[in-house]
Amino acid sequence: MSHDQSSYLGTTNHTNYTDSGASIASSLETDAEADIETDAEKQQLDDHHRHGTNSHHDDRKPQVIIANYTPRIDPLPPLALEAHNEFSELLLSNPYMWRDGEGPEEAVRNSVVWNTMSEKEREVAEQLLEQTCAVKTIKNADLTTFIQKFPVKEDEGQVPRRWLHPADFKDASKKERMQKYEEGGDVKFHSFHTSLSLLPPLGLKMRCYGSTRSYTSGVIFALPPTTLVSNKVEDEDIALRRTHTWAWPAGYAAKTEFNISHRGELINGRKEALVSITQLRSNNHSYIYDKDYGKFLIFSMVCLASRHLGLSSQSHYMFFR
Amino acid sequence: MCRVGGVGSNANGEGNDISFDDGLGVPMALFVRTPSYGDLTALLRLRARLSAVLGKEYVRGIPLLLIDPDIGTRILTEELQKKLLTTMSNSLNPFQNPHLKHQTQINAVSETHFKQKLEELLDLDDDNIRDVLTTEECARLAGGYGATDESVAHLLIDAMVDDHEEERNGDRKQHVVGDWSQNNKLQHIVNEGLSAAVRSGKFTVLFVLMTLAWITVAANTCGISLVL
Repeated sequence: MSHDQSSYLGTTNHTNYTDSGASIASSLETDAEADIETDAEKQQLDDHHRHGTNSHHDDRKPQVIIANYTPRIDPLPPLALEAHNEFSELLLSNPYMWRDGEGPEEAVRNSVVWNTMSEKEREVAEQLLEQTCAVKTIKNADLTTFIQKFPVKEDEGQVPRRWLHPADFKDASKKERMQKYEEGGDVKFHSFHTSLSLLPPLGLKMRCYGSTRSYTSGVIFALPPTTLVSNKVEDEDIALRRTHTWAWPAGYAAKTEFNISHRGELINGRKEALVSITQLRSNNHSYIYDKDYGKFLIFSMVCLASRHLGLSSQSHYMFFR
Repeated sequence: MCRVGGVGSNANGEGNDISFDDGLGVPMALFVRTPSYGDLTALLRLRARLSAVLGKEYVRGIPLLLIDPDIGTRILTEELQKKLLTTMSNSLNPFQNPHLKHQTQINAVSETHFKQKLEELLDLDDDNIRDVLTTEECARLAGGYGATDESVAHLLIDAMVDDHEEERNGDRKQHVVGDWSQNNKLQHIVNEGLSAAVRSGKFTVLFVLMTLAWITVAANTCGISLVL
């Protein structure tokens, strides 16, 4: 028997291949002994006999030899940084600075960073300082749902939708009540209500909603500077009331999904707990600057609870004392 | 509870007429809550998604921020974005979006998650990324984090054009186009991209890179000009 030892691509070396049956193995040995020509092959056969069954066990797999194949692959060396490492240079990019003992309301521009900022970046930094913008953290798993609420799919014949506020249902037509939105209007995106947070200046001291792991990122919306109604500048708080833009103090569990009546009115004390945007800014100021803010917070909560229970203002103070 | 959406301003600031009645428009800025590379990469991906869904004109130049209750606000300026991209392409072990990784396996691809994956692809032609990073760094970004097909194709075509110019100038020996055994720029950047794709386990990028590279080479061999 001649042995072809070529090792080109895809060649299978069946020289020592035996199937599972012992009879096949013995017949192979007989044939091999008859055809042995070289010393090397004699040596190989001797080894075969010496190792007995163990040798048979090792040789059962077919040996596939592939040209340029490297049996051992070294993994790529790891790079220096991982996802959890911090981009430390970002921490130095502070648009405002203030002295020790002062707060963000006394802040001055950090010219080193300010000069490298774009017009839009300056605008948003100023709005965060003046609390004229609101933020929303979005759960990572809900990002798609949130983003997809905005675009109008014109190629599908869609027109801009104005999703109804609970208070809008009573004036809506039957079709609109069923659809839960009004159609039309000279706007580019669908509009809908969502919960936002008015952070203290520059977002200091107050944690955004949700854990940093599940709510990794967020979006910022500018609040309207002034609203013109009948050619008169409307007060921000009046505009909020007129448009049913509800606001509650930080940390208040409004849970609107459970606390709105079928007529679109707030129930279970949620209406009484509403505050104006001016009040929110005032609370934020106290939170940043007052040393005994915890005491103030407890007092506010007691006031809210007692007002809900119909107690007199005197009782707030008595309870607090 | 505020009404958002409705109106929106484009990159030139036109059309911004926000109000509590009609809505606060589209986001004016995006932010993250920690300065980790993982979260900052998520921020870049969020910007890419918004751009894909809302339109480039509403997202171009959108400010990127860090808001932390302990330190306040930090601005990821354009200069810092360039440094971040350079670090991402050179020193950071690339990774996929952890929320999509298990939904876009080679044997189990969820359609919605795969769509999101496509929306999150970085556009190397946008925001002057190509002017800031070298072609190798761009290839690593494309391989490790994902980039749009068009921008990767532009990268490969530019590399091939450079190879031809080198040959024409006599800087390198004449070689057969499409012979990958020879050392050329196109092969080099594809290798860089593939290495980064292997690091992050992006099988889709592996396929895309290989396919685009072969299309580029084959088109050139046949004398067909690619218009993208």
